[in-house]
Amino acid sequence: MLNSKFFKAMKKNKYILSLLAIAVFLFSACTDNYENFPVDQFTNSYFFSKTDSMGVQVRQFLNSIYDLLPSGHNDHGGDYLDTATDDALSIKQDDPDVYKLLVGRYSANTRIRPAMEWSRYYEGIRQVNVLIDSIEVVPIILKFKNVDGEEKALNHTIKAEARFLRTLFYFELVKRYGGVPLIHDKIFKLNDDLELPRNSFEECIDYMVSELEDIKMDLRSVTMADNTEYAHAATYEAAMALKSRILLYAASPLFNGQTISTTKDEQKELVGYTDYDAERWKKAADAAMDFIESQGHKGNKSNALTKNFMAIFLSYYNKSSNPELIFFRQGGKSKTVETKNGPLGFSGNALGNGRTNPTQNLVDAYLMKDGKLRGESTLYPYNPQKPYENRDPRLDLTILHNGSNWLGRVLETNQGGANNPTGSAEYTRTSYYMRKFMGNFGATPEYSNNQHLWIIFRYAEILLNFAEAENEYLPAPSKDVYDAIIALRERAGIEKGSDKLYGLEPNMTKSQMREVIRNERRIEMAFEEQRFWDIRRWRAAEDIFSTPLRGMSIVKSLSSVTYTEVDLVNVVFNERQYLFPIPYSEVIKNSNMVQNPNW
Amino acid sequence: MKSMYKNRLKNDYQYLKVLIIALIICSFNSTAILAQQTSKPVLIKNTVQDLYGNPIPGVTVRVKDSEKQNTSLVDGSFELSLEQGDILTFSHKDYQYSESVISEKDKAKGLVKRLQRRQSQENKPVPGPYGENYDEDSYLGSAATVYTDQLSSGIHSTIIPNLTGRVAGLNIIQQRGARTHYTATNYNTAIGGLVPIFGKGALSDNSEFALSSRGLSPKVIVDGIQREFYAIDPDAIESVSLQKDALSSMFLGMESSRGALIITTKNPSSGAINVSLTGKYGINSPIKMPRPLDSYQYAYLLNEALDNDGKKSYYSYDDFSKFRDQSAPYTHPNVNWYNELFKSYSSSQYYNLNVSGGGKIAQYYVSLGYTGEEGLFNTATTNSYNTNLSYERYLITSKVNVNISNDFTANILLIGRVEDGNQPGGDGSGYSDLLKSIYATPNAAYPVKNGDGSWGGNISYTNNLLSQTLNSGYLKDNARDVLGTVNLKYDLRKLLQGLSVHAVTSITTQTRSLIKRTKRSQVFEFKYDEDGEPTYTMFGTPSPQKNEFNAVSNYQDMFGRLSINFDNRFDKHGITATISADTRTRLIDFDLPEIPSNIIGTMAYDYNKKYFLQASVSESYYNRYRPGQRWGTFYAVGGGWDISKENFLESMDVFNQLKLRAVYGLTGNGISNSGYYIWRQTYSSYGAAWYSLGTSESPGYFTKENFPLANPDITWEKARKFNIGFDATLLDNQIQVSADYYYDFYFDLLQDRGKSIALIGASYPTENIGELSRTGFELSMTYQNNIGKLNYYLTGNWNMSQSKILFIDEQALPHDYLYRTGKPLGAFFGLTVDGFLTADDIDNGYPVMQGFSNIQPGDVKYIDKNDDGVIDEFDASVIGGDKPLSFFGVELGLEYKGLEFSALFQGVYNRDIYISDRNFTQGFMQQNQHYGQVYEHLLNRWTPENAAYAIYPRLSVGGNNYNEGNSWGTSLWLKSGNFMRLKDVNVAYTVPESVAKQYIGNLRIKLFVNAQNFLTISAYELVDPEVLFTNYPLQKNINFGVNVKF
Repeated sequence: MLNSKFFKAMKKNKYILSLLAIAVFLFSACTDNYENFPVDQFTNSYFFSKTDSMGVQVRQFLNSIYDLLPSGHNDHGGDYLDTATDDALSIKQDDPDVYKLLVGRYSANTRIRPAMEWSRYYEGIRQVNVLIDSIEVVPIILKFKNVDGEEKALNHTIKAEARFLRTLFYFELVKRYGGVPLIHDKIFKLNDDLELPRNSFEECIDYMVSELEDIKMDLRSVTMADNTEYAHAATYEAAMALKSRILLYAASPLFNGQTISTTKDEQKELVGYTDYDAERWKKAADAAMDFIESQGHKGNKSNALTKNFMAIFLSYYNKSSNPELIFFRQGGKSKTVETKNGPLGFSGNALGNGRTNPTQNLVDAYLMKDGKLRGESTLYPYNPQKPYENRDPRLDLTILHNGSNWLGRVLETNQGGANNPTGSAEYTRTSYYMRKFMGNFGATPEYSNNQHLWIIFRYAEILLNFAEAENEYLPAPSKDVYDAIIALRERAGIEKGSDKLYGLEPNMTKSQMREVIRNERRIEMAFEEQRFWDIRRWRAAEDIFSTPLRGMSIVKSLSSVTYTEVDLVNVVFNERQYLFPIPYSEVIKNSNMVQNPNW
Repeated sequence: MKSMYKNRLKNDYQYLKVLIIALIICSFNSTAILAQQTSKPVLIKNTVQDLYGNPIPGVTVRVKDSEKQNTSLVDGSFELSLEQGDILTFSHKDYQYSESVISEKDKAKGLVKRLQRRQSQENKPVPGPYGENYDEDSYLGSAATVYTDQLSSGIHSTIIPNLTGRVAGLNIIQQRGARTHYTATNYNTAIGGLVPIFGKGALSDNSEFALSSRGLSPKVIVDGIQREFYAIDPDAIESVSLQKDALSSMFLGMESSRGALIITTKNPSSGAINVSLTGKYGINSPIKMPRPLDSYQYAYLLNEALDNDGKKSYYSYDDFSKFRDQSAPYTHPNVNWYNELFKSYSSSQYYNLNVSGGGKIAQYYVSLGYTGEEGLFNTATTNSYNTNLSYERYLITSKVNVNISNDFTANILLIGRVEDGNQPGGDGSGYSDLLKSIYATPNAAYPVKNGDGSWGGNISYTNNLLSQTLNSGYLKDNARDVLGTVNLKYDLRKLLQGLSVHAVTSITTQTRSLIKRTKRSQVFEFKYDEDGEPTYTMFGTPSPQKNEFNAVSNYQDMFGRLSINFDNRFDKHGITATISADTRTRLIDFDLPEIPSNIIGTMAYDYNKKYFLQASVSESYYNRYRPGQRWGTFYAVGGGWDISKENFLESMDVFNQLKLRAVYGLTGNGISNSGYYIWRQTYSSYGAAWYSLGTSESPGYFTKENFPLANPDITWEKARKFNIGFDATLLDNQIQVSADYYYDFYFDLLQDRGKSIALIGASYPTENIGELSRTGFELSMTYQNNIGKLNYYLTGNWNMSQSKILFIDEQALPHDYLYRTGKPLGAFFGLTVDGFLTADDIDNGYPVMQGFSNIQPGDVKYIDKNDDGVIDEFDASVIGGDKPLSFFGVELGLEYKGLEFSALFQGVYNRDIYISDRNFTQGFMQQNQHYGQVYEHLLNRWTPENAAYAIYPRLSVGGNNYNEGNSWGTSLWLKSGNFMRLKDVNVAYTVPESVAKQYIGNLRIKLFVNAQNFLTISAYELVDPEVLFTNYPLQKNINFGVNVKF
């Protein structure tokens, strides 16, 4: 009864009912079907999970830190960093970044990255700290073996790899700026006090070396080439190589004895050691020799010089044919190195943009076939009209020049030649192109994909590090110093000579040997991001840039070809450029941040 | 319990469906119902109509010298007992005052009175957001409303061009001459250009105009529904109202800082069936095209530039002569790419058919519209498909009002849209790339076609521009959307006089997709080789046609609102109160839904319509803020005083209205800048192949901490807004003046902190720290009158606004002039230019930038502001953009016996633009192995001969950073952006009723011609002041049209 009455009443008020219906419909907005928070964005506890016994997420997290490693191939606004040295010029004439770096057109405020990178390394350091902080909760059951064959839990090596990367990041900072703030294991929160002062240069070096010492036994020592999954991983050897490089830099004149002059006391301990100590060279020499005698050619030979210079940059995973590699940044297959740097004058799949133009200065540095410098060889006198004859074989493997065989053609880099369209907007500025890192495309008609990993450490550097440090430490070069250079020259294909010295003079003085080692380092490691930093740590840039950067002008007439060297760029190197300026924004935001001298 | 509830819901929903269907059926039978219901007149029925026979509701009809009066109803009828010889007066705000003497026939059959519409725009009720009009007398806010037929003048895909210069305080700059074709998700909406938008943008139709009102872009409300600027048929729009103060935007809750642009569509008219058919045809042509150098001049200047830079010449004397006499078109071409690719004009079309009618029970309005625009690109007849830029849109709009009972009304709106865009494939990149390339390619680059008919090109230009236009396929983008709104109102006056309940629900869904059909042809370079033999070298990789289908976006929006309203007068006391709650659920692609919601209470009181008080509070919610921080409170209060109602003024009988008003409120600007759950610190996993692993280089999956770091405290920006103004209407509504002054203090603005020290190893989130003030004046005035049958009006609006940065957490800087704090937002910083360097300057060591080895006489001379002997970033100070920006519009209208004329001028002053396009400022930018285009103005470059009067620095190739200010900006390229346009001119003629009746079967015909952007006067002549460089050019157009009604 009541019910029917009720319904009657309701019927009467069906409009009200319909209103209500709509209201209910509206306010029950159908959102039950969705998550409360975005599921594609995880939180810390998902990443560092107590149930992830294979450490899947953690290892992926580590990958992202590896990804911060720089790859030097055309990395600086499309150019190699070496095009900001006396070794090469960029083909670009519209003020490319490397040109600004070369001539010093930068300031604390207008920085050029990645050469003047700062925050990216602190980003890497933070990521390492996040990983170190949280990894302990992950119950990884996997094991690995270290250099002594000890079995360890994978947690240890992941952590050690991360700390290796952190040390590498610090080293990248220190070689740019001198002493920098050390964060240690801290993960800063948004409102933490971040006005940190810079640590002294010495503290930074000590910290890095102690870190490497601390982690080396937690790293694998697998020879990368044998490992299908961990070929990219930082190893014991990588840590030792980094230590060798750190100590070499620490002993170098810029930081040891000839630091940048400054009147401000607070800058003095930041720009290097406050005193000179020859023992630092000893430490550097020992670190390199330690490597040579344990893992190197005098030890268990897990690293040695690769027989063929060319093969170093072509085969990355074949340990037996390429034992030289110690650590690299993983890359992938492509032909971008070729298309970016290959000679102009080709099209289609043979197209090259000729980005990197080696200078005559670099070409001159290459030895004659007998190991003597250009003009000093009696066996192979230098013919200025046939400048590439009888040269160090590394010249042809590093630089393409007029007459090189390339893509089934003979390169014509004479003025207006097929591969040097002088007069158009882009033409090789020096008549040279870079050859290093490229595949064997001398005879093939076009480029194809090739591996182009970025080598961070290779064994040749250890030898060079040793030779340099040992030579600086001793009053006169020892046999070990000679041996190191001879090993490189032998491998390069320099003629042995009757004295079996591969062109070296017997009984050289320390400073004669210094010049030899520095030149050897330049030609052996060309385009590998060494020269830019070397001329700084040697404090030699002012001297080196006192002569202009040169190119070759080749004029072809009906009957003859004439080679003339031409001056291209004059660089004035200011003392303050030995260290980069700390980013201006960092200095004004942080009252404890001390700027480098004269910036 | 829950399932029961859901069941109930389902049943209720069924019920609703039935209801809606019933309503629709109802509406189609409504005329019949009308006939039945109105068939028993008590008094003689008189009607008021406009000249076309449409009923006019709301006309006050008085019998002269008597107390008798009435107001016309929705069908135009009014009931009065009349005597022969009575004099009736008709007054209505929108129609001209008129009188009639009652004849015998009128008395017997009822009077049919025709009123003529006033021409002006003002003096209308202020539309509220939810369909109800605010009572004009008691409205306290700052509103600018356009009610005009000119909203539909011209042919446009949006109504924004028609708002330009017509709405006081709505500043519009057109940035490109054609819409952007949406070809990818995650684009940002252009309308929100002045509001920071993170993550996914909303899905606006507007990609051509930057809209701002008091510094922010307003929210758009269409018939009560908050939406982006979607297509609405301009013919279907009744009014557009911009509401700028805190009180009128309080309904936006958390977004109330932004102001509201309220668009109301036309309501159905009642009476017999009305059919209106409009057709327009328009011709468009670009206003300003860049003027490139011809090849001969180009070659000459290039050699000069190369010589300046110490480089080898490119062209020989032989080349010069070939360029000059055009004797070798294949090796020495002179191609004006604009002429090759563009037609000189394009066309557009618009058609609209609408039908409306109905009776007391139900009224309907159904409109079907088509808009079509063709672009300027040339097409090839050999293609069976269209490669031109084009835009086509079909819109169907249906609005039905139903008076279900005396107390219950329903209103149903349905809008459906089909939109198709087309553009040349351009190798997959569409037309914008093409425009950029045309802009940069010199006339001498390559011939269009070689002698053998193949496409021209070379190593630097591997894709022939004409081939890219005609021969690279096409991209088609589609949008489909449907909007449905049901609006219900139940009058509860039986319960309590003045009480009503109001419910709105709306659903919008939209999908956009893209079809790509692209291909590419190779090009050939024609040359004579060393032996003089002609050779062809191929460049570029040809690719056959590739087809692709992309889903661009998917969007759904549901909105619901329920309100309880009370509106009544108690003697002299008027009280209005509303409590409402609204919620919306917005889904964009795969994002979690956004659910902004509000609960709003508003109360208004007036005493005798003389003193007014109003207050509004909004509790506003948004689900993407941190739990516990999702609700915000915003409020506004206002007061008003209509002085004209005071005795001392009332007796003067000058003022119809003189209302002073002031509003103060706390508003918010959130939601669009809230980010996507950025208060949570999260980590993301990235897909395959980031850091490759191992010898196999297998994909190294990749996870990392997301940057910027979480900002757990993120909240909406806030503002304290103060607005004071007056509205005056004088001399029997002949003069209307409305003026406003505002001071808005914005705080908690999302900005980067100053101490964002990089040692943290992460990027910092934006935080609520900034402070900014905005002040300004807005003024609008209208004068309207008639001289006999000549009606005329003059209306104008003007506004001025200025901002000041109060806090942006700036760190210590060495010089005062480097600080941005205290300066207006958007001020340009740069080096100040003082002519060009002379040889003496260089010898005397005039300060220059460091690291430039090639500084020569003729390079720019910068002022060393801090006197430190070098030019660097510390010499950059404010060079412009800091003056109070002013927009204005002036419109004159005339009407004489059906012949109408109107003209609108619109302009901006105190505006600066910075010209940064280097193809324009320097020319000869490097393009692979060639140098790019140069434009005519660079003939005035510095040379040793004309050093005294050169306008531009010496030429150089490949970009000269020194002369460009080394990225610090230079006053050389800061130009005045002031301009004035003759935006809109209309001439229309309506065939008089007498003629229509006699000769054309009572068809009402209106013919019109309309011209837009016909004249532009700009301070800087070389470029269009609004659409710069590589964007699709702004066009002037002329349209012819006809409107037929019966």
